[in-house]
Amino acid sequence: MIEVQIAGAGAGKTYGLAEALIMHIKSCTNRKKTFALTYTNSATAKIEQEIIKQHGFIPQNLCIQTVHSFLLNEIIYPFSSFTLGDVYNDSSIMILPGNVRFKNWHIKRLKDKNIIHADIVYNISKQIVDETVSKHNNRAKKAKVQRLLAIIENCFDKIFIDEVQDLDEDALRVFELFGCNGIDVYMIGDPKQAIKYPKALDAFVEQISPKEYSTILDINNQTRRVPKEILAVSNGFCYVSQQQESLSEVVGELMYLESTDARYDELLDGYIDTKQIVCIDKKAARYSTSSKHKYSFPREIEEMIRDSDHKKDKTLFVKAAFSDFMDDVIEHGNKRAISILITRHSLKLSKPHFAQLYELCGSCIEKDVRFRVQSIDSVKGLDADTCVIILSRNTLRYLSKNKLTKANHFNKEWKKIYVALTRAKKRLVLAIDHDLFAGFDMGAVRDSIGALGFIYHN
Amino acid sequence: MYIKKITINNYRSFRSFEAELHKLTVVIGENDTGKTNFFTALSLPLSGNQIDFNQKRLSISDINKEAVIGFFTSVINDEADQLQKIPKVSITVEFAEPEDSYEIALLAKWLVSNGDEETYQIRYDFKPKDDSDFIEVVKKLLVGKTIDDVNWFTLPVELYDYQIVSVNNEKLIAYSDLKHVSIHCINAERDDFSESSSMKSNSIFTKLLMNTLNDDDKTQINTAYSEFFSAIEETETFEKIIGTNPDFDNYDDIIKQLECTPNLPNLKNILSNITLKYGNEYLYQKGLGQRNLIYIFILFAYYKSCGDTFNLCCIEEPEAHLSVNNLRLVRDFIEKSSRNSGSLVQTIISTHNPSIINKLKISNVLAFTGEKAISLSDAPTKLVDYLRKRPNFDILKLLFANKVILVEGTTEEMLISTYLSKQAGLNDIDIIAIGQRGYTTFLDIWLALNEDNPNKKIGVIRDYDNSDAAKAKHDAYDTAHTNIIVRTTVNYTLEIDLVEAEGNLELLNGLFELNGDISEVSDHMIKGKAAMMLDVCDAMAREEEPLDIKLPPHIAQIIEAVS
Repeated sequence: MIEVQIAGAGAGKTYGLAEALIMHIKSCTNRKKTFALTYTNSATAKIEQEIIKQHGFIPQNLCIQTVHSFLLNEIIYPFSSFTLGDVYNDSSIMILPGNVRFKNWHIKRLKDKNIIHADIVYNISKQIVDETVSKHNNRAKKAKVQRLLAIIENCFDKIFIDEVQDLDEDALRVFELFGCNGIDVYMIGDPKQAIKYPKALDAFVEQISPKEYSTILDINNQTRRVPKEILAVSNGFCYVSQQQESLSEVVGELMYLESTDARYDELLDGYIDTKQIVCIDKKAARYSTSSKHKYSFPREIEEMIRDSDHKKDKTLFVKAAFSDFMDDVIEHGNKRAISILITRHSLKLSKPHFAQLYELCGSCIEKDVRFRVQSIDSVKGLDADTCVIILSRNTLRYLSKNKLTKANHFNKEWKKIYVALTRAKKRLVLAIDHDLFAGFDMGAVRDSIGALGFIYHN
Repeated sequence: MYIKKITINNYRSFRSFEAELHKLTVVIGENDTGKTNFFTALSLPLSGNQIDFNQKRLSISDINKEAVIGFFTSVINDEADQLQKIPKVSITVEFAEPEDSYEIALLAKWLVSNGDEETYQIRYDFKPKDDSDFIEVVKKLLVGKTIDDVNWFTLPVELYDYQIVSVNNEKLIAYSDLKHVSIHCINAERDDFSESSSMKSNSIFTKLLMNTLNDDDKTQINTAYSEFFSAIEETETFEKIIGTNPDFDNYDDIIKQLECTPNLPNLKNILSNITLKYGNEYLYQKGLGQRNLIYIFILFAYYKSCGDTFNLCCIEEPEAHLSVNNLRLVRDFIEKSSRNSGSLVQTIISTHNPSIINKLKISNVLAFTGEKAISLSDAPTKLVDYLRKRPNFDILKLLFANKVILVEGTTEEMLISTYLSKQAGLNDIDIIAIGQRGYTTFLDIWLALNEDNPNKKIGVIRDYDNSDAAKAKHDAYDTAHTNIIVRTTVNYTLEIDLVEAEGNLELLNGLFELNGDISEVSDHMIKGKAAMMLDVCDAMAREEEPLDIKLPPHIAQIIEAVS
């Protein structure tokens, strides 16, 4: 069985999910495991906290994990050899090149070492459990997949997935297969916040709703978090059937602030220091979205460091080396950091290795950073009394819907706007940095914001 | 579910070894064929009695010496395959036939596709952390040496590490998964009830207590225990320990903060101080046999108490120290307990006791020959039934004696034994009366172990009984195997051949005070059955003027051939 619950921002999804999990665990009589899955580690921690708050402790047969870690540990590592004949026992998050051929070359190299890249976890998982993929092209292979699904059925009792809009179609297919093979799956999410794969969840819901193994629950359009004054703006980014209604008794505030104001820096610092949400769609000018440990060393370099002459724990040693390298890049610049790395670990690098390292440096290099803020992607699931959105041109374009064609509705950028708008419990602030709007008619900018109901920051 | 197969490489006496197991397996073998090593090998890939994981780290003496020497030789000779010759210990355990969804869930992550079959495999490895580093070190170690200069124990085993991995992906198995497959051994040197000076309880018993006590019980124990300490505290004995000291001004200020408080151990620690009493004595003061019996009972009680874990129960020589009565009890207990316990319990016992083998079925037997383990699972039903009906039949003698002669009944047994006892030198031939006609099932099972082994010989003495077909069937074994000798009486039965043998007629006439011909004397003996033969044997064995009876030629030939 698959149940899908759609609920908007601030509907109390995590609270409700924790409640449902505890109910389920209490009524559970068998010894199978129940999984609570979500997209990020921080969201995992949130569910854990919520369960501890409601239940006192995390029950032993409840596993709270990210979807990636679930698919790796419960599906790919144990079963890829069974239905695909491929062995994986480790995973990598190294940067892959954009060029498809190079990318595949790297993925193949990793596979030769039994390593799977995080980017293909969803796809490989699907191949393992989906007999309709071309790899399983004869009856014997299909039978094996069926056999595997029968085995897996015995291992999982129920799978709860939070933030299901962050899954792509392959991952959704994996859970659909579980759902129609005797494992209960409960999905909760919000297609309005589907930033990564804007269409996947909508398409999935449409595809499974006629199936007898699926139940699409009534959409929850209530929000406890977002005050109705803010909803007046954010509902402009909702599907017709998903317009939200506020249960909050707080009076919402819509404000804007310009960098020409002498208080600008001070106010922004104040919001950052008091742990309010300050976000931007992507890093620009003085605003950095710190993400320096999102990647790892390229695999071959990682191995050289791992096996270099030291007596420490190999895994920890590599992690430490990476962290040092990132610090060096920021402190001394790319060239110096790479040369320090080479000397420190006596590396012998080839040309492609250098290219890879420079690319890695490029991903984290930051010049003239004044504010460390969060990306809109990373504030999903968070809330605060105040949310400050650093306005970018793109953000403004979507927010004002100025010259926005229908084709751009409900795409990635559109959905980012919805996410950013729905974080605040009380005050929503648009920060307009004039440096980001060089050549713009600021008067027109002010007008379009004013039209949405934003007033100048007091 | 059960462990179906185990493969051992380079562990102690096992260079390369495979064994198939059943739900209940009876391991037999001569001394020094690796039965105990087999049990310790099994404990390496599974979660053990002891919380102490260090037990899984082996020492140099656990690595097969032949393998070490082979590796050293290849390094000294700078052979190309050094890397493959590094002595690595590995023990692979293959589980099969999970019976319900819980068992499938226990095993699922270890799924291995084996043709059309699915098995579930985990492996223990003890090997160098890094092969090439290891080779470098060994090369330095062996520089300028010949194989005669080096000792196997110089292998740098400190560069080794152990791991337990899932065979399907070579990935380490988390303790949280491994703890669901555990092993408990009662060793031949058992009995830790009495071994420690503190006379503590034993670990299994403590675990049993942990499993059986419910939460209320545990709370009660904890409360009582802390009250016990409060009571001690209330005696104020502690206050006198560190008194005041007027020599220093600030001494008392510092010491004022100091208080004695009981260091409350956890429940497991408390329980480990509980021991058993039997009647009016501590169990550890009882006799070895009594303790052994109770120990085995406790072990199975423990298995009953843990329903969420697979338990491999290994008992070495359950017969140890047991009296006839207790042996019968234990034999019955093991048989019924292993039959009644759920699918999560698998039992392996080793024994030197034929009655245990016969009771627990010869088809469950795994016989160790020193090089390999031979499963007797194909033993015909006929033999299984025969042994169950005759629990005292010495199957071990049949399988392992170096020189053995099979005879039909007691008459032959008496005659040959008497004859052999008169010979100079030590008697090393075992004679087994099988009490029936037809030896082929016995020869088949004997061949399973001893085929082509020139150190083992078996002779078969049969009566003709006017059946050429039966004779031909048995003679075929003689023809096909150099270590099997089959001889048949010329006449219908033994007595006739005996009387016919050179000079015997006269001697026997004298003994029986007859004056008959061959057929009269032999008829007399046949009618008198074993009693007559006993008379003959007594006469042969008497001190004065022993009767010099000649053996009939077919028996003489067999003794000649097996000696």
